[in-house]
Amino acid sequence: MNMKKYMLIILGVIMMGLAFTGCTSDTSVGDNLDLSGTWYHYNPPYEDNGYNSGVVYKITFEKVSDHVYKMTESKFYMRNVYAKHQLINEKEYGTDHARITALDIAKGPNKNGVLPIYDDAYEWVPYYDEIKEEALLTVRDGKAYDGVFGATHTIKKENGKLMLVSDKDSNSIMYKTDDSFFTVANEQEAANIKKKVDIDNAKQPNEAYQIRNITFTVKESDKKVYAHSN
Amino acid sequence: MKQWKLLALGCALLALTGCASMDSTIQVDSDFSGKWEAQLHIPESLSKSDIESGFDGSVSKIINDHKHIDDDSFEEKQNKEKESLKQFSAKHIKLEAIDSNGTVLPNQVEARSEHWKITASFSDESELTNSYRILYGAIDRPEALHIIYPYGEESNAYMFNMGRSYGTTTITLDGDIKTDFKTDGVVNGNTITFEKDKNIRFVFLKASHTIRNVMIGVVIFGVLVVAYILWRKRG
Repeated sequence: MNMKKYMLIILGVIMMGLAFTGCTSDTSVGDNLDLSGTWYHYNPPYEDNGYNSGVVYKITFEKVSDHVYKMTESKFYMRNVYAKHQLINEKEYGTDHARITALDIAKGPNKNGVLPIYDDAYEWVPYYDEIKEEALLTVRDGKAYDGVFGATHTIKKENGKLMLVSDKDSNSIMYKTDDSFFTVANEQEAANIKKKVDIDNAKQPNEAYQIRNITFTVKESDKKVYAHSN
Repeated sequence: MKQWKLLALGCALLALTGCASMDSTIQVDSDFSGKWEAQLHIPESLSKSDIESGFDGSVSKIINDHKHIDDDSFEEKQNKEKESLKQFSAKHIKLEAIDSNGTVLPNQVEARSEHWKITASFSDESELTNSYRILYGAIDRPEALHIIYPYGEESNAYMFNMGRSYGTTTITLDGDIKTDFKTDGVVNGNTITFEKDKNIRFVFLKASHTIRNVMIGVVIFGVLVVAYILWRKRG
């Protein structure tokens, strides 16, 4: 009997046995990455909201053990309602226009059909989530599992940056980064504000207006405002 | 009756109204397949069509998500998910009118009853979650994406999370329930029971069956070696 053949058979059977018993390593790429730190996610505005603000989520995780992280802070930023609107075509549009809305901006074409054009300035205002129970993130087989709701994310790395991609919606992505994320969020929010204005203008041409530039600042404060305080 | 039907449409099998209850017995095997048997008790007799319209309403309600600006595929995704859940419901969930003793009533099409038996079978965790979303409406927890999911450092540790119990709920698992995790349930061996309105949330260690699988591996190994030796001898 050829010894080499016996060895191959034994090796094959051992591998099969390992597969049966589940003794093979369950560590995948995602399991070796460090997820501790700050994570950001931009959620676009909803169409059916009365006030259409996107939301920037910022969540901080601290490593507890090899596969477990604890959420130490959860906050989200919403765009403030009262933007600063600067009418930039006052000369063409005129100042004595009658259409003054609750937010004190003139809308709709004037006698000559000229629409008002604005530069808007917004603030991102932070709100904190009260962490009432221990919120763990468990990492297994390249996926991260939220311990509170069971939301599942696939851990990915793109251009050196870690991402958590929601298994429910692949467009919903959290990025491990820092406050520079607001640059990306600002661009998307500005685009969405303009889209919303286009939708509203199409529905109500008499209230139409245009936006040229939109700027954002992040409003931080020492005083924590909780989203659902009792 | 119309009023009740409307309630059913909006309230996920009436159980969410608080004036009805649903006692459940859930059996989960180590591969997360299993069976969910429930008895729904409602305070007024309803027909099967009334209850089924509640199912439809429940399905619509649990997918009542919001549309992001410029999400052109929103309606398509919603309809696909609704259709998927309806098909799952038709295939895996059985509804029978019973009397107060649990006996199945004759002529199920026309029968009206305050007592209903619901049986759901599931072959994995995602089907268990589908059953839960349909039977429980999942209105309290719109983000309930999974009932069972990995939790904690141990590789065989899982969270079982269903939120508020709509009646007495008894869950039996192929594994060990972790008693050091704070839970509202009463543990008895590998069974845990939650009273109505308690939070169904606990951690368990899935049975590994390692010894059984090693034995299977050894037997297969032996059979292969013997077969090979016999084949060599014949040659």
